[in-house]
Amino acid sequence: MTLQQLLAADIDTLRQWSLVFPAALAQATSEKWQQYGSTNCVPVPVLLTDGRYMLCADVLSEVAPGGLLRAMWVNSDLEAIEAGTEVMAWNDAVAMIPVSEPL
Amino acid sequence: MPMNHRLLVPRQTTHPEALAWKSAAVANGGTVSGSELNAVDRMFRSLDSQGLRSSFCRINLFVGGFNGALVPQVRGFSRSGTQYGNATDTNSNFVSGDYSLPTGLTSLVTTKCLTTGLTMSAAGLLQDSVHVSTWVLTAGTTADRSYAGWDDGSGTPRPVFRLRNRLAGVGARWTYGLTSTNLQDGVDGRTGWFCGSNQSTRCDLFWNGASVASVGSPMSTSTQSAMPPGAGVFCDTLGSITDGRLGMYSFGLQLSAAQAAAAYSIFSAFLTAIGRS
Repeated sequence: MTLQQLLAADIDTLRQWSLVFPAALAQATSEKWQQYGSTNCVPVPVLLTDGRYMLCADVLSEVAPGGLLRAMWVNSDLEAIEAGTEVMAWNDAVAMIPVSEPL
Repeated sequence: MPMNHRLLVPRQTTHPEALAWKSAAVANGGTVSGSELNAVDRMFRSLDSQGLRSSFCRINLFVGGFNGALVPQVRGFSRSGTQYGNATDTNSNFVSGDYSLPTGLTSLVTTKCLTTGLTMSAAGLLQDSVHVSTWVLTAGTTADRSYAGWDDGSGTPRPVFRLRNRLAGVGARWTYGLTSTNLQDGVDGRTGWFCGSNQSTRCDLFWNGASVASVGSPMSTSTQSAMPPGAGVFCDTLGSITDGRLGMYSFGLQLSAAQAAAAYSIFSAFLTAIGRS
């Protein structure tokens, strides 16, 4: 599965995948959200054990026209996003989340 | 000409707090149907008539479309008094497809949660006078994650107030401040309205309006959890994000058994009115 394919996928398909990207891309995305986003939808990537960050791919459902992240998306460096993002199966990405503290 | 008797019937106006919420929800991009507004109106009237309104400082019933569902109906102990926390819940990673009127809001473990900006210290909530409630429609599947509450991370015993899913697929538990013991209902697979409530000498976990677990330890009167981003929903202040599906949440002062029973009836009637289950 590629990012381009996910952009055309329905939400049930999107939920089976994750977007994994390096810290620099997470920072760039955060800056774009601060410029164009709202608290109605804040992409908050989860840190993985290999130092990269992850979002559920269903976030792409909000970059279509009319979506809550549309303005942020169209003003982002889409080539950099595509080049820097690995599409990973959701369960594989979740397995890379650090174990939380005991409670 | 005889007077039309309909002119003598007082016209019932919508509750001012329901109207204020509708305006805020629409301003945030929400859409509020007549049936949703009527249900919110009835919820406020019921809180007033039961004398419960001043026990709540934040309620979100998740209505008004996805954007409207981020706007709480209650943000203070009264409409005219001080308002606490953020005007809208901050949405981390929920997308529009995670919400519908009949299903409420559905999360994903580790990623999707709401933060309110409501700190215990700002609202004057003390360890011995606080409640947290959520309506769990589908239980979380990962153990020891939080449905709602605060955690200021200050050590053991941790001054936390949060409702948690105890084990995979299990109801909830109320973890309270002065002891590391967890108060839990011990019944598997439970959904419904959960409310953890601390009074000065008693901590209760209410389920659907009745106490299912309690402890009689005296509670501290200190204020806790001033940390941003305040109370979390589908999480606590520090994270611990759960999956599952919620129909509403509330924060406020402690609830007695009678108050919890009344609050359950009010929220149950609300969910029935909007067709949520």
